[in-house]
Amino acid sequence: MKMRKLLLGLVLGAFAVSGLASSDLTGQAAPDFALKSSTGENLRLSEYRGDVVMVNFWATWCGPCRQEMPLLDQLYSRYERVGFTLLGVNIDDNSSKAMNMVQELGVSFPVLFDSRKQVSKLYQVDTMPATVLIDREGTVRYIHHGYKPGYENEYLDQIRSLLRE
Amino acid sequence: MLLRICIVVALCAYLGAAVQPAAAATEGLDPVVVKSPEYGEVLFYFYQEDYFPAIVRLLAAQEKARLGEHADQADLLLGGMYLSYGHHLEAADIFNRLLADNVSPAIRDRTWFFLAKIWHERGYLDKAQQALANIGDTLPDNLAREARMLQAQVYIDGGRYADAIDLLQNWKGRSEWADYAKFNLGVALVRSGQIEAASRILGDLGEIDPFNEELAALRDRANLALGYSLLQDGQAAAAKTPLERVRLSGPFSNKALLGVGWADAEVDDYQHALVPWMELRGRDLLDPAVQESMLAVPYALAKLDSISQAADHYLDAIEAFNEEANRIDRTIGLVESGKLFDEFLANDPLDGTGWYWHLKKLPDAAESRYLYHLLATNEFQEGLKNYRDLRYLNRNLDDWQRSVDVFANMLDTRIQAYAERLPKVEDALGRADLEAMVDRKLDYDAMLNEIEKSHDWLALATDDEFRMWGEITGLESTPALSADIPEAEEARDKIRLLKGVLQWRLEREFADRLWRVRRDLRQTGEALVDTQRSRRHIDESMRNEPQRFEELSARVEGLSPRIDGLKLRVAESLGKQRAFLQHIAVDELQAQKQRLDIYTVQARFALAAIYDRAASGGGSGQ
Amino acid sequence: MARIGFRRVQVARKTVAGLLVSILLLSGIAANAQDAGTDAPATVAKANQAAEDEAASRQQFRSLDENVQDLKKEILDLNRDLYLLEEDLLFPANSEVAFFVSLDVGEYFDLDSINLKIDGKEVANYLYTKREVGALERGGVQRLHMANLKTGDHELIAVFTGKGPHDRDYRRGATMTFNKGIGAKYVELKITDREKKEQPEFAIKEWE
Repeated sequence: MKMRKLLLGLVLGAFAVSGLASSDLTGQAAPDFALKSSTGENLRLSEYRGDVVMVNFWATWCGPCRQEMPLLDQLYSRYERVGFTLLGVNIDDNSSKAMNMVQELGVSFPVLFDSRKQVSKLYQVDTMPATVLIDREGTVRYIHHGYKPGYENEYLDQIRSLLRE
Repeated sequence: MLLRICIVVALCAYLGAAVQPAAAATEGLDPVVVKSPEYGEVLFYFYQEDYFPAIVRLLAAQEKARLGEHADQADLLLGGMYLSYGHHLEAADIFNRLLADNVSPAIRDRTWFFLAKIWHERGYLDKAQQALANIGDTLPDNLAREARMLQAQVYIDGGRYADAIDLLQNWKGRSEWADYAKFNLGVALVRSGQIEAASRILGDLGEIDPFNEELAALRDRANLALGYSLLQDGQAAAAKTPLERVRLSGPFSNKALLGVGWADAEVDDYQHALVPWMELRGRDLLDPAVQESMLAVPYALAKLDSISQAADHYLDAIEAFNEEANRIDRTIGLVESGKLFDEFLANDPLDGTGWYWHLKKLPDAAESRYLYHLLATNEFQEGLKNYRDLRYLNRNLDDWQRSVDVFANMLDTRIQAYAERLPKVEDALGRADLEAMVDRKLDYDAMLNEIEKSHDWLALATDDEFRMWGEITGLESTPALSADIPEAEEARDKIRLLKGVLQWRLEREFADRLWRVRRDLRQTGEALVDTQRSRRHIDESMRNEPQRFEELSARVEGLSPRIDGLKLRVAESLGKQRAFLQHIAVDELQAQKQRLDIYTVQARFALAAIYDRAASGGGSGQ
Repeated sequence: MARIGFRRVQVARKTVAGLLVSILLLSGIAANAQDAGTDAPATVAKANQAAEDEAASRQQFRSLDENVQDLKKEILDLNRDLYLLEEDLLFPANSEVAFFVSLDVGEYFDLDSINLKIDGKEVANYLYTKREVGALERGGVQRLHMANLKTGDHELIAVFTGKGPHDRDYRRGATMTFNKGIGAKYVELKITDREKKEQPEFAIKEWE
C-alpha cells in the first residue's frame, strides 16, 4: 500500500501530498463531518460515537463499488442492532444518479452525498471504493482501498473484533 | 524291552500341545476412536504389551468414571489384560460380570471366547464346551480361528476324536491354527491307540510345505510322532518314511536319527542301523537321544559280533556318563546357591510385564546348557515370569514409597501456605463491602437512565464546566441585571450569549459522555460480578479446605503402612518363587542325572554280559 | 498575559469613561438645581420652604443617584466577571472575529444549513443534524466560525435554509458590512421570527 501511494504521489506530481509522507489516517481520530443524507436529514459522524462506524466512499461509475454494496448491506442489517453503523458516502457530482443506484440496489444503510468532495478529500480517498473502519472511540482503525471479492470476510472479522471492544 | 522304553520315553518327551499365539482382547472391534484421554493412556500401555500400568490406569479411570463411551470396551480390555497378565481369577470374574450386563453381541461373543479359554486352561472341559457353544458369529477371523482350535482341543481332551476329526477336516483353507489342531489330534489318536486315523492325519501334516520356521518344526514333529507311533505299532518299515522326512539339522533331527536306527534294528538290519546311530553319537551328550545312541551303537555292534568294539563303546559310554553326572552335580550346586539365576536375571531389563515374554537366551556359561531344556518347558517359563513380575512389583512399590514421602511433603506445604494466606484473604474480604458497591452501581445505573431520559446534559458536565455554569447562572440572577438601562440589557444579552455557547458545548458532549459513562459502568458491573464470584469461591474453599486437608492427610498416611505390608509380602513371594525355580531346575538336573544313571546301569549290565560271555564262551570274543 | 492586561485597561477606561460621563451629567443637573436656588429673597418662608423642598429633593436625588451608582458598580463587577468567563469560553484573540449562531423562534424551526461568506469567500457551510437543532432550540449557541481579519471593513453574507411551519422550505439571507477594530469581535447570527411571526429571519448582532 505504501508503495502504491508512493507511485501515485510521483505520478500526480506536485499535488500528491500524501505520496511520500506517512499520512495514513490509521490510528488517528477520524475527522468529523456532516453531510446530507438520502432521506433529507443531515448526519454527523461524531454523533455516532459509541458505535462502530464503517464509512464507505463510492461512486456510480465505479464497478467494484456496485459489487461491494449489497455485501455491505448484509453487514449492516446483521450488525446494526448491536452497535454498528454504516455510512455510505457518494462522491458523484450529480447526486440524483447516486439516488437512482441506491434505490436500484435496494440498500438500507444511510447514504450521504459529498458532491463537493470535501469529505473524501478529508479522508485522503484516492481509490474507489474506499472503506474506513472507525472504533467506538472515534479512532480510525482500518482502511481498505478498492474492493476484491473476499474483502468482505476481512470486513466481517474486523467489525466483529471492534464490536467486542 | 529296551526299545519299548526308549520309544515311550521319546514319545513322551516331545508330545505336548503346540504353542498358541496370543490374540488381542479387543481385536476386530471397530478401530478405536479415543474420546477419553484416560482411555487413550490405557491403550498406550496396552499396545506396548505393558499390562501392569495399563491395568492400573484402567482401574483408576473406572474408579473416577472417566471412560465415557469406552466403558463397555474397557471391561473387556481389562479382562483380556488380566488374562494376559496371568490373573485368571480376576479375568473370569470380569467376564462373568460382563455377561450379566446388557452388552452388545460383539462384546458378548468375545467374552464367551475368553471364558472358554480360561475354563479350558483350568480343566473344566464341559464349562469350556458350553462357553464355546455360546459364541455367535461376530468374532473376527483371527479370534474365530483360535476359537475353533480351542474347540478342537476341547474335543481332543474330552476324547471326542470323531468330532475333532470332523471339525478339522471341515476347516476351510489352510491355516496354522488348523495344523496345530491336527497335530494335537494326531497325538491324541496315537495315545488312544487309533493308529490308522492318526497315521492319516499326521501323514498329511508330515508332507505340508512349510513357509515358516514354526510350520517346519510342526512338520518335523508330525513326522516324528508318526514314525514313532508306527514303530510302536510294529510297522517298522513304514516308520522309516516319515522319520526320514525330518530335517537333519533341526531340533528333532536327533530323535529322528534314533528312530531311523531303531526302524532298521527292528528288522535286524543292524548294519544300516549303525549309520544314523554313529552320527548321533558324536553330538551333544545332553540330548537323551544321543545318550541312548551311546548304548545303541555298542548294542548293534554286539549284534554284529564286534564284541570287543562293543565293550570299548560301553566303557566309553560309562566314562562319558560319569563325567556328565559330575558336571550336573556342579551345576546343581550353582543353582542351589542362587548364582545361576542371578546371572541371567541380571541381563533382563525388567521393562514390561507381558505374558509372552520369553527368556530366549541364557548367559554364556558351561552350565547354562543344562538349562536350555528347562527353557522349553512351560512350567519354568511361567515360574520365571512370575519371578520377573514380582521384581517389577517390588520396584513399583519402591517408587511409590518415595512418592508417598513427596506427597506428605506437598501436603504439609499446602497446609502451611493456606494457613499463611488465610488471614490476609479474610482481611481483604472484610474490608470490601461488595453488596454496598453493587447497590451503588445500580443506583448509578438508575441515575444514568434518568439523565438520558431527561436529556440532562448538565449532569455530565466536567467540574470546570459546572463551575462556569454556576457562575453564569449566578450572574444571571444579579438584581442589577433586571434594570431597564442599556448597560443592563447589554450585560443580559452577553450572558445569554455566553450561557448559550457553554450550553451548546455541553449538549455536544452529552451523547459521547453518556456512552462512556455507560461503558465504564458496564465494565464496573462486570468487575463486580467477577469479584462476587471470586468471593463465593473463596468462601466455599474456606469452608471446605480444612476438611479436604484432613481427608488427604489420612489417605497419605494410610499409604505407607500399606506399601510396607505389600513389600513384605512381595519379598516373601520373591523368596518362594525363587526357591520354586531353583527347585524345578534342580529337579530337572536330577532327572537328567537319573537318566544317566539308568543308562550307566544298562551299560554296565551289557558290559558285564559281554565279559560273562567272553569268560564262559571261552577264548577271545568274536 | 500582557495582552490581557492591555485589554483590561482598555475596558476599564471605557467603562470608567462611561461612568464619568454619567456622573458628570448627573452632577450637571445637581449644579443647575443649586444655581437656581440663589434667586430673589421674596419671602423668607417661601425661600425656606423652597430650601427645604430642595434639600428634600436633593436627598431624594442623592439616594437615587447612589442607587444608580451602586447599580452601575454592580454591573461593572459583572462585566469583569463576564470578561473572565469570556476568556474561558470564547478564547478570542485580538485579530479574530468569532461568529455565533443562535435560534429564537416561536414554532419549531428545522434548521438545515447555514452558509457564511466573508469578503466573498465561503468560510463555513454547516449542516445541522436533528440533535444540533434541538440544542439550539433549548438555548444553545453555536460558535460557527473564527476568522482572522485585518482591521477595517468586511462584508458578510449569511444564508440559512430549513423547514419552517407548515413544512415550508425556507431560505433566507442577510448581508452586512462590519468593522473590525483593534480588539476581538463577536458577531451573533440570530435566526428569529420576532419581527415577522412565523417567518424566521436573520438578525445580526455585533459585540465588541
